[in-house]
Amino acid sequence: MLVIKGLSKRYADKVVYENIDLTFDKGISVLLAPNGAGKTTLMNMLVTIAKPDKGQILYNDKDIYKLGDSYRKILGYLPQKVGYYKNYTAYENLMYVAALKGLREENADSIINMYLDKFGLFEVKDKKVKGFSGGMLQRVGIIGALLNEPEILVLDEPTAGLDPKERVRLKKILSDLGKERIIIVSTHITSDIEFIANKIVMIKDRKILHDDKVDTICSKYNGKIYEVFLDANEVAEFECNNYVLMQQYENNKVKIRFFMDEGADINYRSVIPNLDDVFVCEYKDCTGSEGVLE
Amino acid sequence: MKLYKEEIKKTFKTRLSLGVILLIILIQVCAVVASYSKLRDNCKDVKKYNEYANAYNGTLDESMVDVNDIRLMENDFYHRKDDTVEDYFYQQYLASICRAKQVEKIGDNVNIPKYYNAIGINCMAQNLTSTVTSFFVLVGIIFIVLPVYSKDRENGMDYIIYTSYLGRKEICKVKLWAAYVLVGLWVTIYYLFSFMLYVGVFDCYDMLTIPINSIGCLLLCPLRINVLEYFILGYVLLLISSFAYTSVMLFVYARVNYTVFCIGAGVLLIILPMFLPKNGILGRVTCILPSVFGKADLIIGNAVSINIFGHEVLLAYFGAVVLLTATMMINLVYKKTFWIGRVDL
Ligand SMILES: Nc1ncnc2c1ncn2[C@@H]1O[C@H](COP(=O)(O)OP(=O)(O)OP(=O)(O)O)[C@@H](O)[C@H]1O
Ligand SMILES: [Mg+2]
Repeated sequence: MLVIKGLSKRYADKVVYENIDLTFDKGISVLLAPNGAGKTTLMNMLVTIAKPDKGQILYNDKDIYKLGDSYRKILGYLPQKVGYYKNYTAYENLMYVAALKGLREENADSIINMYLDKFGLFEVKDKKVKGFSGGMLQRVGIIGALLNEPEILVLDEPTAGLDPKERVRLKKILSDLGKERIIIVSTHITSDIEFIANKIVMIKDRKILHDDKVDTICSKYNGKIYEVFLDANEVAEFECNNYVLMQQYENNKVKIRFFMDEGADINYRSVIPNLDDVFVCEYKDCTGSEGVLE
Repeated sequence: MKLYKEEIKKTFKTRLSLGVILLIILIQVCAVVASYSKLRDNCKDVKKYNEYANAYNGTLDESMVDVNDIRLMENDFYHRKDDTVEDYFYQQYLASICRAKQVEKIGDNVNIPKYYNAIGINCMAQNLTSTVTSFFVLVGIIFIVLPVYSKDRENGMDYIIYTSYLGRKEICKVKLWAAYVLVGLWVTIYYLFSFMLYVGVFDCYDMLTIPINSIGCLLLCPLRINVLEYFILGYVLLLISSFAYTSVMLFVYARVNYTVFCIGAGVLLIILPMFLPKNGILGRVTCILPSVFGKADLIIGNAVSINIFGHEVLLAYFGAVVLLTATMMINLVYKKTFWIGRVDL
């Protein structure tokens, strides 16, 4: 169990976290927040690349910075920007990571081949990675993170650049792995995780906004999300008075999904809220580039 | 063990490094071939020169050998610019006197001056134990060690390295040793290759055992050693200065984010001392900088000795001790910080 206690973190000119508490258990926990909210910052602290200014991160009641190398032994990490050596083949890149992780050569070979096969990269394993697409590189990075069979797996936007087929494949692999391990995944794409997440952590304004199961979070918006069909010329006016989440053209009409806090008209059909709705509603005031300074 | 292999492999997988190394070796081959084709004709006159030498038969003895006299004569020779056969012989005459000084060692009759065709050894000394080699070897080092360090950061691998199973200390250690192994390999290959090239092309195998001071054109060496020993000494000095240079460069690599700046800093460190004056305080200090120190001809130039507790100590030896100690200290004390990366800790 990974416990964050009273953690604060600031960069020279920006406070990213202020006194947050969090707990990660076995299973898949998802950090869901817009750009610049601090997902990567939190993950960097969890993998001992950055140090919190205040507070502690405890693994089984021991400070991870005191555990040091013995904590890193059980860690698997996929950085947001995947690292690789351009002139190496996929296999060579992974061999290097295997060496970093202290795997024995015979073991490394079979584990790497197994994962390459699992992630559909076996055919290209002897091609140089500089010719790889973004999604292929991402998968090489994910395999690298998995090589030492980590107890704690931290993946920073693992689905970035993956096509739907690969997303499905990754989700399946992650939910298998999640039975035994603490998996922490960051994303801002809600559809990635709705079905595999054991819990979702939403971050806003230096604080933890939600820390719960998908259903629990969504149920907070029960009776607040509606749908209505309008004529095209009515849309502009409607948008002025309501918070529109989505619009879609359907046989000459416009289907509008919107948020309304209280007492909706009977003409509007109430719908079951999904994570997208929650995300858009919660972050409606965020510009998505909070951290950028003038 | 495995990570050593992987770290060393990086250099062999980097085109830039391999290109620079091949280029340097190619330049060296050209240098040898060029000086051979220029001096080929001079190699043939052994017989004639020995006739000249015979004119001094019986007039040489060890009492004549006063180091200061020889230096005077050497100066005299170097100031005569007209390159006549007489000049050339005069130089050989000086060499014979030097050789006389070492009579016990070679057991020759001092009074019979003999000309050795030392052109090959001469060229080799001017290349292998001078600025040329120390420059090329150190430039090679920049590119050989580069992949072990700066590639990681450029490729964003540092986060993975810094969070991995083996642990930071272990990885630092491995990278450090991988760099030293590569550098040792490079210096040895370069030096041995050049040595064999010179000996082969100029066919001077049988001269390796004659005293270094019987080779004209070289400054007088205070040590009584033969040609082979002189070049071995050159190799050892080059190796020490290379290791010292490597530790300085690793220190730079660990702190500079861009490859271009790493290369720039490395080249600057090599070139700068070469332009500094060789005499005075500054000259003495620069002697222990790797790019100056790596030249065995330093031990011949008597100007660079210092007085330590009443003993005249050659600055080169002093430098060797200082450099080695400094290198060890840096490695031991700063082992952990050698590979910092972009980690904010
Ligand atoms: N090294 C740094 N120095 C200063 N500010 C930083 C640094 N790293 C991140 N920040 C700031 O901290 C905030 C959080 O950044 P972080 O990268 O953690 O966001 P994120 O949630 O991962 O965003 P994204 O979805 O774009 O990856 C941002 O406002 C960013 O500008
Ligand atoms: Mg991020």
